[in-house]
Amino acid sequence: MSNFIKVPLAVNAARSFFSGVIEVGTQDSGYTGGGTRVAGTAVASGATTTSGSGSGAEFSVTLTGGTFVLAMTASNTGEGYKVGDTITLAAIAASTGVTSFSAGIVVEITAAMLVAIEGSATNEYALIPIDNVACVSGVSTTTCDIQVLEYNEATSSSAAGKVTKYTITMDDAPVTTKAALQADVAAAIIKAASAENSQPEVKFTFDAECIKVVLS
Amino acid sequence: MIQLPIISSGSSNLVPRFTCLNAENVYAVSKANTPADVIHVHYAILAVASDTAPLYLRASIDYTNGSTAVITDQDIENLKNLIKSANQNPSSTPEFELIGARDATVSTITDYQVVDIQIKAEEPYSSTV
Repeated sequence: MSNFIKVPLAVNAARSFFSGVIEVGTQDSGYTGGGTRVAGTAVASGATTTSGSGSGAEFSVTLTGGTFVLAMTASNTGEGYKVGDTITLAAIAASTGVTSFSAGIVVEITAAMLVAIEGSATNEYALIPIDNVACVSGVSTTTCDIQVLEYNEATSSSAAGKVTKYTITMDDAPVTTKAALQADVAAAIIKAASAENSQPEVKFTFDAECIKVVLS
Repeated sequence: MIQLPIISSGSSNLVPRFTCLNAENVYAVSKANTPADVIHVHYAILAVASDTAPLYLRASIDYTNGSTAVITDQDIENLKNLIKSANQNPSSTPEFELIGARDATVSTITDYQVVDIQIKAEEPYSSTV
């Protein structure tokens, strides 16, 4: 019989935009508005949040082809955006060879546009067996490792890298601390160790949100 | 499982929260030569029943915070005894505290609290619990 802890996964957590290229799609099938559009090379465009509470995102925007397929790359990934929120890309004046649009382009945010998270309505917890847990190691304010008494030769040639671990990654807002994160996780493990089959849930202080748990 | 106070984790330095360390499969506890103020807890594990040679891992408990050395030989003995005790009572989660913490002040108590714990693979250690 194994003992487990439950790590609550944030469902539609407010978070940052994905830092790579975001393929939005075409007008009315990815975005609305835009007025008179001209395809061309990438152009910087500020983003105004029109629903939701995210802020700070800025993009390099490109319209391509006869159907004006929109792609955008975050030059600043911002914070606090949720799936279903909308942003409006500011209009860009026409200029030879450059992407332009005479009116703001409205984009509804999808999960693929934001930093990936594991949590969903049908996946609310990550279960971690604690029988072979060696210790909890603080890595940063957003990352904590549960190190396991097992080798994992495949991961690294270094001695430190050979140890199997569960890496718990938190969203960078709300902000927690490295020590608080370490203590939160350890508290659940200690509780599970002292009460078999209890499956305690990790209670994150400062309302911090877990976005993924990875075994490596 | 053993509990150890973590630096900067609680509502005040005098009320720390805790991290944890597994007390099973420990075969030795030692004080590191370099860096000072690190305790090594050595583990030997058979990953599967058919294994003939154990895997050797080492947890390094880092107390490197203040400028003075805080780990004593008696601390090592105390931790060994606590590990033995925890293994005799499998559901117990006793707390380990360095001896010096008992006489520490508000301004020095953090020297006796854990900065971090890390595990890594190692060659077998020569001493036993």
